[in-house]
Amino acid sequence: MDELVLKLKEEIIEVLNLEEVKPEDIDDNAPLFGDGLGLDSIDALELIVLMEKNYGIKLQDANQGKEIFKSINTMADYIAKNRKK
Amino acid sequence: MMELFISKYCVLNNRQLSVNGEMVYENREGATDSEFLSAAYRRFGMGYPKFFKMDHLSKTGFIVTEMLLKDTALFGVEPKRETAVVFSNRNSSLDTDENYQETIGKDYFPSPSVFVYTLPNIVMGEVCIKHKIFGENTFFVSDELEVEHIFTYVNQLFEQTETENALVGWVDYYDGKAEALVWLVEKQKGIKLFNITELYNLKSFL
Amino acid sequence: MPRRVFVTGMGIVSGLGIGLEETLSSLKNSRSGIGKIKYLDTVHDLPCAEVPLSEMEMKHLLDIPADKIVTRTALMAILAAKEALQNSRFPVKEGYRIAFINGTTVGGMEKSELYYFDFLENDTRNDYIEAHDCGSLTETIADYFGAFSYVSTPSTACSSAANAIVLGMNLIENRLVDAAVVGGSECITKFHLNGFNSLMILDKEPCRPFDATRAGLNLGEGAAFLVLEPEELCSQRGVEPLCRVSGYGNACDAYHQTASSPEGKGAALAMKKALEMSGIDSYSVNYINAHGTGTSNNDESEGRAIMSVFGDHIPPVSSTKGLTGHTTSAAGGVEAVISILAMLYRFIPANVNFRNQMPELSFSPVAEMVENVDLKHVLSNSFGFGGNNTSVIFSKE
Repeated sequence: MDELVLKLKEEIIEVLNLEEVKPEDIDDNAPLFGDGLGLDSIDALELIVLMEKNYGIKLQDANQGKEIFKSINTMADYIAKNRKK
Repeated sequence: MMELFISKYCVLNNRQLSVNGEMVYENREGATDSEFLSAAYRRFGMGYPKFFKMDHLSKTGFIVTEMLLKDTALFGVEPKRETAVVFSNRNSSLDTDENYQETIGKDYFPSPSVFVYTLPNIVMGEVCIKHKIFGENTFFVSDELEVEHIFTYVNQLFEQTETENALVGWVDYYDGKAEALVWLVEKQKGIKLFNITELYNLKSFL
Repeated sequence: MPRRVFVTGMGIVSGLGIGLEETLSSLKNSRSGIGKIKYLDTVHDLPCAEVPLSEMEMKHLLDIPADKIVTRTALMAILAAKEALQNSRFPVKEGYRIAFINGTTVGGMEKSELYYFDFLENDTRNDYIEAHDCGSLTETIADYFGAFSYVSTPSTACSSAANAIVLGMNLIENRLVDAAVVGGSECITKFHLNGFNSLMILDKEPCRPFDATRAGLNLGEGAAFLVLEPEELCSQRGVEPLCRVSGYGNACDAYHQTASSPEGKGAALAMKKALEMSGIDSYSVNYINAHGTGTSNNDESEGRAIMSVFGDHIPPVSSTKGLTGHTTSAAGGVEAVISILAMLYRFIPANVNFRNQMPELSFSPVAEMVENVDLKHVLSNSFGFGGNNTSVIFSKE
């Protein structure tokens, strides 16, 4: 799980162009959106693409993202349970 | 016709950044234009993390407008309802269009964050978001900077709308090359008259 | 004293049909052009409103040889511009300075994406490379007529055609041209179909603008142009204008690259500017042809903006994108024609598929076509990505 969490952080930093952020800067439980990393709606869509591309998980409804992307941990949890790759 | 003035101008070309004709930053060895944009962002401590999400065209526009508005009375004033933005370029959003095409073309994972930049006027959107500008926005696509057309258009803006100042110019990025010339037009006395001769002089910097 | 500028002709092709007559019939019968994709070669099964003609058919209508290198967007635009010029009976060969302003984003891209790998790997399709650019599209259309002394291509996403109208107005008001043909053109491409899909704002069903359960937009394609002339020229030519462009406004929302601010700041500013210029008060607007894309974001944002500008006296509002789809860069032109047809033929086109009131809004759109209405002033909204918002007011006189 730790491995997945680290990998996820690196992937997110790359895909979302978070140039000034390092994996150790991201708190596993902190909110990704709003105040946390300050991600926005377009970032949420990119995370949806990331899940499909890297883990084979297809989300049909953008609103599901709200719960899944709450934090790195909730995202890693969801991926661990649903990944096809 | 109202008398208008250019109070400041900024040129970004060949990895050199200059303000009012004086070079303020250059990085000509080694780095690409793309790296130059990030280096300039850091060099001037622009403190706007969203910069890194932008496409090359928006980064180019962001940097020159930041340099243009910095140290002027307009910087930090919110909201700016009477500020207009009139930009133009030759390549539209083609650099990003090609990047976007790659995300569909090969892996078939169209990228939403790239797609939102596949329009030439998003650079103006980014500038307006950063500087809270709510005035008129227009973007023209033409072979080269059309001095007479832009001059007439900007004059008309000041004459017929409540525009008090305007960010005007050329912002382009294609084939690894960033090129921009923007100037601030105002009603109060500035460093140059806003007229066709001066615009052609400025154009020669590109 | 600013010059009074009139619309003396118009032309249109869209999912509603070819030409003004078919378009009017579709509008009055609330016949939507949205359906299964027929012409675009895509894997996606998403409802779209395509122009109901193949390129061969369009070339045939225009007497253009089958092997001539012309893009789909250019063909649509030529059809629409031709109708507009014929409609206005403007004497194109008599030395008047006429501008041609065409708003577009895709240009010839529907060919570039088809032949992209050919461009890289061989020389068989190189003729289409030049046809890609937006400016190139405008010139191709202008060349067909050989009548224009000035051409330009505003490219501001979904407000492009509306901004083309504004630019045409500016040129005539400043006496830089004698007349202008203004509007926009756009065909559906895989590029933006996939793009909008990746933003998850496409509805898999026919769209429902201003409905509480709306789930996104449907793409459309088309081209539409207006012929603008100043009052003196209309009198001189003895031509009866269709209506007057009495006001317009453009403002930036300054909120997000693609989303609109929740309170629709930029939209409200654009509408207010248009009202101010036209010299009429908000009570005098008889109908608003909304941008109304059917996305969760736009309809709420635009709805709130309308409420803030019109307060307790909101005129009838409808979005015709349930009939035409979202024609993106051409929308400002397509909807200008629809607004003017509504005024001339005294009806309000339906905002189809509306069933559920949006709780945030104090008004509902006009769900069924209404006849025998006197429309003196019609406001048309076109809002583009980048927060570029334009409103135009058409007036009977």
